[in-house]
Parts: sequence; C-alpha cells; structure tokens
Amino acid sequence: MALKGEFKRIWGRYAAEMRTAIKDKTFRTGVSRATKSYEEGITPLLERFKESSTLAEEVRRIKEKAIENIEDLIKMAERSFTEKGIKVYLAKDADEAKQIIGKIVGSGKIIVKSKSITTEEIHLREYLIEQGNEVWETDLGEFIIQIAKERPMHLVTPAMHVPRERVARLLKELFKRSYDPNDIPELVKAVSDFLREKYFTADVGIIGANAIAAKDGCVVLIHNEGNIRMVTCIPNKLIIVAGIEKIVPTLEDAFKVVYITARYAEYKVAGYFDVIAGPKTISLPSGERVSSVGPSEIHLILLDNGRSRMINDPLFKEAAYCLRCGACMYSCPVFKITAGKFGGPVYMGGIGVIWTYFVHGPEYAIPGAYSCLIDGRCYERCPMKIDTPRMIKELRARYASGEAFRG
Amino acid sequence: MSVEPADYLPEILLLIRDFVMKTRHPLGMNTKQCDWCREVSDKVSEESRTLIYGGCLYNVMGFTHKLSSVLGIIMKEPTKEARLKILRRLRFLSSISRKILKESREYTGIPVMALEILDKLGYEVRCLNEEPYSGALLYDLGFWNELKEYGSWLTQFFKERGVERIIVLDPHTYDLFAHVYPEMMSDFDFEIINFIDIILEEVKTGKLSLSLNEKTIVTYHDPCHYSRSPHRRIIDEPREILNSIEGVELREPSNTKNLSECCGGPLEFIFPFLSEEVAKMRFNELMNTGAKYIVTACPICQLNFYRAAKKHKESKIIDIIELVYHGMRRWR
Amino acid sequence: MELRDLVRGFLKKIKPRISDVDALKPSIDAILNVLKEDRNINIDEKLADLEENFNENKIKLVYAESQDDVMNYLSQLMKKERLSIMIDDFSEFYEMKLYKFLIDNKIPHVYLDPTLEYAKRKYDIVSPENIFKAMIDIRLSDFTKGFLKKIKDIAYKSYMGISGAIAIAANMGSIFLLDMNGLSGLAATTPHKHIVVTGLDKVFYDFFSAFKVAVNMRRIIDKEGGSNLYVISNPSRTGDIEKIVIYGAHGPRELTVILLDNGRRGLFSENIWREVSICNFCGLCGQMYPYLEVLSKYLNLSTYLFPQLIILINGAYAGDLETLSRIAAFLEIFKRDFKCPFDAVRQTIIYDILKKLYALGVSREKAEEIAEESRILIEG
Repeated sequence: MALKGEFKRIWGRYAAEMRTAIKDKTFRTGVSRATKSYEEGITPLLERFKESSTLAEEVRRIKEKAIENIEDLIKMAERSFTEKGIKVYLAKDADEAKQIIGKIVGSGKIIVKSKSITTEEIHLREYLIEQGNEVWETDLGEFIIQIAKERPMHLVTPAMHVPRERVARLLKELFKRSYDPNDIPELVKAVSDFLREKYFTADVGIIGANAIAAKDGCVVLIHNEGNIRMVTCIPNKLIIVAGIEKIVPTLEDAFKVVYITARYAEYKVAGYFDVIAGPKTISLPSGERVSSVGPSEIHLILLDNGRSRMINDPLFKEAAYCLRCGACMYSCPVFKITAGKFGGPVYMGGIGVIWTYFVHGPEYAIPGAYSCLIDGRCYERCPMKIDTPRMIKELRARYASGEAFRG
Repeated sequence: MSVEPADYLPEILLLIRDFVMKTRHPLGMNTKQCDWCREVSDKVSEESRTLIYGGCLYNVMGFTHKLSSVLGIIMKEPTKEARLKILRRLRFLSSISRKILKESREYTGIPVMALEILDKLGYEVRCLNEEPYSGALLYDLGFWNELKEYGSWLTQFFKERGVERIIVLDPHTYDLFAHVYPEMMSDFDFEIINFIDIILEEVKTGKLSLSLNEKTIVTYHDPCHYSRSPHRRIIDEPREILNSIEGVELREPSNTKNLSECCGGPLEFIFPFLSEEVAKMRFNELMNTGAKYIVTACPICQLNFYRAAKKHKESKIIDIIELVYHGMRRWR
Repeated sequence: MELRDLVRGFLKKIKPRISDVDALKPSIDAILNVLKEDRNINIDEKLADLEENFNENKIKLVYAESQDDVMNYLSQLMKKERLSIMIDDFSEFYEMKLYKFLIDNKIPHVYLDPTLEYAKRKYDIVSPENIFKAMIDIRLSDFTKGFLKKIKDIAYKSYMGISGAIAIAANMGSIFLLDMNGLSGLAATTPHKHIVVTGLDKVFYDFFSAFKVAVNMRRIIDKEGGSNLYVISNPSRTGDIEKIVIYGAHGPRELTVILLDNGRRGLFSENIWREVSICNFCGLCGQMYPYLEVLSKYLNLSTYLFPQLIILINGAYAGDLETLSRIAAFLEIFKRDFKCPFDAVRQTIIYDILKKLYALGVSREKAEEIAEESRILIEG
C-alpha cells in the first residue's frame, strides 16, 4: 500500500510548497501583515455598522433561495440579457468556456482583464496567450502576480506576500528602468501609466462578476482600484465570465450581495460599484443606432464546470453561497502561515478545498482536505455562515470510503 | 482503472485507522498501558454505574510527549511513507513497554487527579484498568464506516461492564460521546457528563471552594472543540471556575472565546512542520498576556504548547483539572 | 428658418408615448417611500454624516451657498493648471448657467453629449434654446459620428471631468451616477480629477435609500434597461503593495463633490417643497404631452419638472422677473393638461406655484401674453 503515481506527485508538490512557504521569511511577513491588519480591523468595523450581521443573514437567505431555483434563474437571465443585446452562453466546463471565448476574441488582440478567480479557475489568461493574444491583468495585485509568474495568494489582496523590493525588481525587468522600492506611489504610477496606454488600445476587456441580476439583466461588480471601470468602458468588446452561482433574482438582491461582500472583506463600502446593463450605443437623429464609446458587443459566459454537481449535492450545496469576500482566509490559523498554499491549485483555504473537489476534481482536493485544522474560525467570520469544517469532514469521509472516486 | 483509498491516502492516516481498529489504541500499543486507574484503585467504587473515562488519551499524549523527537523523524511528511511502513511491520510502538519508556506524568496524572477530586466531593465512580480509545480520530479523519464499527464495539464494551453514566475529561471525547455516537447508534444511550460541568456545579453551590497559595496570573486557551463546537459551546463554564479560584487573575489573549486560535494539534501527524508553526503563533499570543500559567482543557493542546514552549523557560502549561486539584489543597 | 417654425415642424412629428403606467408603479412607489422617509431627517444631520464619511473616504467636500461660490471655486481650480475638461450635463449645470461661465472664462472644455458639443460649436452658448436648435439640426448625425471617433482620444488626454449625480448617500459617503450611452460615464472614469456638482436635495441619509432611488429612476428613465449605474465612494486606490494605500491607481486620483445650496436649504422647510419634492422625475407627463419639453426649451427653461422649477424659482432665478415670467407662462399653458399619472403630486399644485410667482412680482399680463404666443405655436 502506498501513494500511487499522480497522487504521490500531488501530495509531494503540496507538502513541498507548504514547507517552502513556511520557511520563506518575506512570504511570512507579507501574509502576517495582511492577516493581522484584517484581524484588528474587522471587529471594530462590524461593531460600527451593527446592521452588518442582519443584512448578512438576509443575503444568506437570498443565496439559499437563488441556488434552490438556479435553473429558473438561468433561464430568466438568458432572456433578460438577450433582450438587451447581451449574448449569453452556457459553458458546461472549462474547455467549452475557453473555446467560446477563444472564438469571440480571435488572435493577435490586446486584452485587458480584471481580477477574477473564475478566470483563474479555467486558466483563461494562459489560453488566450497561447492563442496569440497579449493579455494584461489590470488589478495591481494580479498584475504583480502575472509578471512574477506566480499564482494569487488571496482573493482580495493576491500579492500580499510580495514585498516592495520584489515589486521594484519585477518592474525593473519589465520596464527596463530602476525604481526606488520605498517610493510606493512611484511603483504604482509606473504600472498605472503602463496600463492606461493598454486600456485605450485594447480590443477586448474581460471581467468576472460579483453578482448577476436575472430579472434586470445586469451584472454587478465591486472594486477599489477603478480598473474594472476602465476595462468595461473603453474597449469595444466586453466578455464577462461568471459561475452560475452568481445569479440572484433582482438588482436589489445583487446590491445587497456585493455590499456585504465588501463589508466582510473589511471595507466600510466598496470604492466602486459597477452595474453593467447593456452594449453602449447611441441613437442618431437620423434614426440610425451606432456604437458609442465602450462595448458595442457584450458576451456573458455562464460557467458550470462542476457547480451543478456541488449544488445538487445536499451536503455541499452551501459551498455555492460563498461570496468570495476572503474573510475565512484572513481568519484561518493555517492560512495565516501558508496563505493560498493551503487549498487547491487555484481556490484557496478550506472553502477552496471544497470548490476544488467539484471544479477541478477530487484528486486535487486531497492534500488540502487534510490540511484543515477543523477549528471553525472560518465559520465564525463567514457572512454566509458556511460550515466549511463540516464539509471538510464529509470530504474526508468520501475519501476514506472511496466514494470520492466512484461514479 | 479503479482507485482505492490506499492509493491516495498517506500511510500515516491508514496506519492510525488500522491501529485503532486492531488494537483499540491510536499508537498501536497495548491498551493494558492505558491503566492510570490502577493508581487510584482504592478510591474507586466497584459497583458504581458511573464511569470516569479518559479514553486513553492522556496515556497516548504522555507517550507522544516523550517520543516527540522520534515521532518527528518518522512522521516528517505525508509522502515519506517508508519509515511508517517499518513501524507498521515491526509493530514498533507496541513493543515499547514501561521498562523502556514511561509516559510523562504531566498527562497521566490528570485523570488520576480528576478521580481524586470526585472522590473528595463524595462521588462514587469507577474507572477502567484498561481503557480503550474513544475512536475520536476515526471521526475527525473521515473513517466513518470504521467509526460505526468501533462505536458499536465500544457500546457493547461499556454495556458489558454495566456502565450507565460516563464522565468525560477532554473535548474530543465529549464531542464524540455526547453528540456523534448517539446520532450514529441508538444504543449508545449513556448519560454523558463533562467533568467541567460537575466542577462548576460544585463551585456554584459553594461545596467546592478553591484557592491558591499565592496570587497567580493565568490565561485560558479555549479548545476548538469547546469554543466552536457545532453542538454545544463550552466557553463561560471554565472561566467561571477559574474566576472562582481565590488568587487567580484571569487574562484573555487577543483572540479569545469563539475566536480563539487553534493549537495546531489536528495536523501534528500529517503536516508536523505546519502544526508546529500554528502552535508557536498561539503560544506567543498566550504568553503575551503576561500570564504565568497557560490553562488548557485538552491534552492535545497541552502537548502542542509544551512543544512550542521548549525554549521558553518561564512558561508553564497546566490543565484546568490540575489547577482545580491544586486549588483544593486548602479544602478540608 | 425661424425658431418658431422649427418648433412647429418638430411638434408635428413627435407623438405622445404612453408608457405602461402599471409596469412603472412599483418603481414609483419605491421612490415615493424613500422620499417620504428620508425628508424627515434633518439636512444638517445628513451633512454632518456626509462630511465625516467623505473625509474618511478622501473625497473633498465643498459646500457652495450660492452658484457664485461654485464658479469661484472652479475658477480657482482651472486657473492652476492647463486643463482639458469633459463635461456630462446635469440639471444643476443649467441652473447655474455653467455653459455661459465656461465660455466667458475661455476654459477649454468638451461636452460628452454630442448634441451639446454641436450646439457649442455652432452657437457658443449652450442654452436650452440652442440645444433644441442643435437637436433638430440635420447635420447633427454626421457630427455625432465624427465626435464618436474623436472622443476616445479626448478621454485619454483629459485631465478633469465634471458630472452631476443622481443621489448621494451620507452614511457611506457614496455617489450614484447613471451612464446611459457610454459617454456620460467617462467624466467619472478616465480623467485624473473628477468633480461632482449636485444640489443639496440629492443627499439621502442612507445608502440603501439612495440606491433605491437610483435603481428605480433608472428603471423609469431607461425602460430598455441598457444604462449602467455607478456608485463611487472614493478616489481610485490600491493597497496591493504591502497593504499600503495609494490613491490614483487607474481612474481619478482626486474626487471632489460640490454641494449646491442656492436656496435649497431654506426651501426644505416650506410646505410647497414637501408636496412637490415627491415628484420623482418619471417624466410621464412629458411623454404624454411632448410639447412640454419643446415648449420649455423654446422658453429657454432648462426644465419642466416641478421640483426643479421650484428650486430655480427659489434660488437661481429669484428676483429675475424676466425668467420667472417665462416660467409662469409655461405653467399657464401646462395647467390645462397637468395631472400626475400616479397622483403623487396634486393637480392643483400648479395653481399654488402660479400664485407664488405672481406674489413675487411677476406680471400676470406679461405671463399671459407670452403664454398666448406659445399656445399658438403648439396649436398651430
């Protein structure tokens, strides 16, 4: 009896990455700084806005109902978006999604992209680059991750483990000039100037979604940097990639979802809320309709990739309520040491292990399932009160009995 | 091509499963070694239907404590299975007898003290000269088919000995016996009482009045299985007990109660290098309160903090049962 | 061709559109409920909270007692640097006649609405009357096409954007904006400085109240539902490098809100305001009687909506008997047809407003004279 083949490699890689992360002082400093900041800030913030927990409960109910009626909501969304000239595609898996997007984009294009873990899930950036396109992440953290050729270590602050010295070195390699690592505004400006150029020359913008309003046919996003605004307002083609679990009935529901997402990510309020409702056209007095500035074509790809299986499994359905606020990660005793090394290849933390099981496959979730302390701090902080420790134990039971790989 | 658990679960997990199932002991040792009860055989009431049960956990921790460095080499990483295979084949640990290595008294003394406390309070209880393990690890690790089998065996084991009430001492056993086993098996219908509840009751009625010789600053570490149990959260009870001890000043660490940090214990055999880091972080947080004693209520937490404390000469980790025991010294 | 002939010709072409009143009712009710609740909150309380939150969010707040204050502030701002400005028009813009201020002070600016930009090119002063003339100019379509080709470059280069707002939430320090066609939103998106100018009446206490107003107004104004809604609560910022917060990552690095009083504060406690402010600009009256918009532009009024008219009468046009006469004339014609489809505002309110105007010194004869001229125009 022994770990066989691919499993042994998965375990080996996982343990090695963990070990390296634990010993890496700069990594640990960055992670520690970010998680400490959250721990210190979140309780006073929730105290200051006492209605947060009540609203979070309401959002949980919205999510429960939405997931319960997901099939109807998908149909409703298809109708509403199509009526407004937004093309809707249902992609059953990552390959189908990439093919669809590949066809829309073509080759030789300049693409600007906002941070979206769903696009990481399907490795979209790599695929589009392979197809001969130039792709730029516009979220500063993701941009750093992209040029460092790493993977994100947190949902909201993906480059939290990268210190300023490294950022300065990476920018030096890219822009061929020196930067003072202590002049943070200068580092930010270097990227900001570079990206401004790209926004205005890009052919395609690609974004994710924080919530989708089925009835109103709108996609809602939150951000603090302003990059999503640039990506969605300037290039004339826009592609939105979102998991089906993002769909809720109305724009009011969607707003509550994103409001709570930002709050539990330790923001009083998100800097920017963007509601994207349709292609930008302008009616001429002559009666003609022409493209205005911004996308004249909007494509919405609704991704399944294992979500239906998760939703239809009563023991794991609640994993689909996850808002991606990152609160659990900041609160996890393991994450505070290993950041995103705990989890799956893309999704991070305990909730990430569950997601990995369904979207990437049970084999990739194994080491993560056994890295969890089952301590429950994530549950305490989760606005949706998702019982991740319970689900981790259930996953272990499926592994122990062999059910994970049957059928 | 079909895939089996043995293909993807590291040897350490399978070993624990097999040890528990075969020998009723998580380290594969003989349960004859789980005999703390013999020390207090004079205080035991043989006819009692109330059992005080340590689940062999304290003996296991006592051994693990002593074997830390050896176990550290054997269980270094999940993929390093060769050493564990040797362990399995040689039934290495089962051959360790007290002649070679005695468990650390810091752990095995605790159930002894618990029984002595109950005796002083006038309770008539008995204990087992040979304690089988509770089976908790099977639950945490997801070996639920095996858990059901083990639980059924354990139910019979207790019933054969006429047990009706079980007083448990640690969070893992409590959670398992009070909530998990009853849901799994309808005949696991014993009355389960947490030792802490008994102490608190006696403190409230005034029958138990505790004090220490000198003013002592302590801090309390909430075990995850108490402070965040999905079934019953035990958060205020230990604090009420501690606050009732004359001379004790209780200080809270920055993360406390339902937001306490974990000791890292559950990972100690699969990712020991990670478990160590978690323990270190929590230990430092607890020491930052300036307390002289870190009070724990779980032998696993106790072991993990002890390891983290290695270099810290000032630290002392003490189980709440032991602290209560010392607090009783002045009681007539 | 004379303006009168243009108007007549235009009126002959447009037909009344009756929207589905029932479909709009939920949105109207939602806004009504918010308005009724929010106006019980004292304006000073709102402003105190707003100031605190804007401060925290690093949004600069300028309180302008009168429109002169706004124009002084803008003069100062625009003197400092060689700026290029993009402007999205809004009701307060016309209230203050900012279009005149910009031309008089020779400040280089571009309108994000091609109609206004065309009007500026042709007539210099972008008054309501000139806008109307531009609207019906047959060369507007070609101009718009050319404009659309150049605007992206303008957006790239422009330093400052000025816009209005649909609502402001005091308890979060958030600004709600609508972008109908991809152009108006640019003022808030691409420049390095974004200035929001809006009236005190747009300040709501609670984020979700402001949201309800914004989202339902959007449903009413844009039935096809294609316009974007934006909420902005701070200048562009990032904490991605070691969690150190830097402003100006992508969009505006500076965000200023100028709150215009211009008589509003005094108005809030008046009975007539309490009645009229219930109107939520659904514009159905304008749809049912298309002559209203045309007529108001012909009379060089920037609006036909009652709450806005009251604000103007009380503030910007106070003492300006000439303009007040034209407003009275407009109302004399409208009183014949006016009925709020939702019975939110009572029919007879129009008589109260007229009474107020005549009490302020407007000559009834003068008003009726202008009304008579205009009536002929409409009835042909």
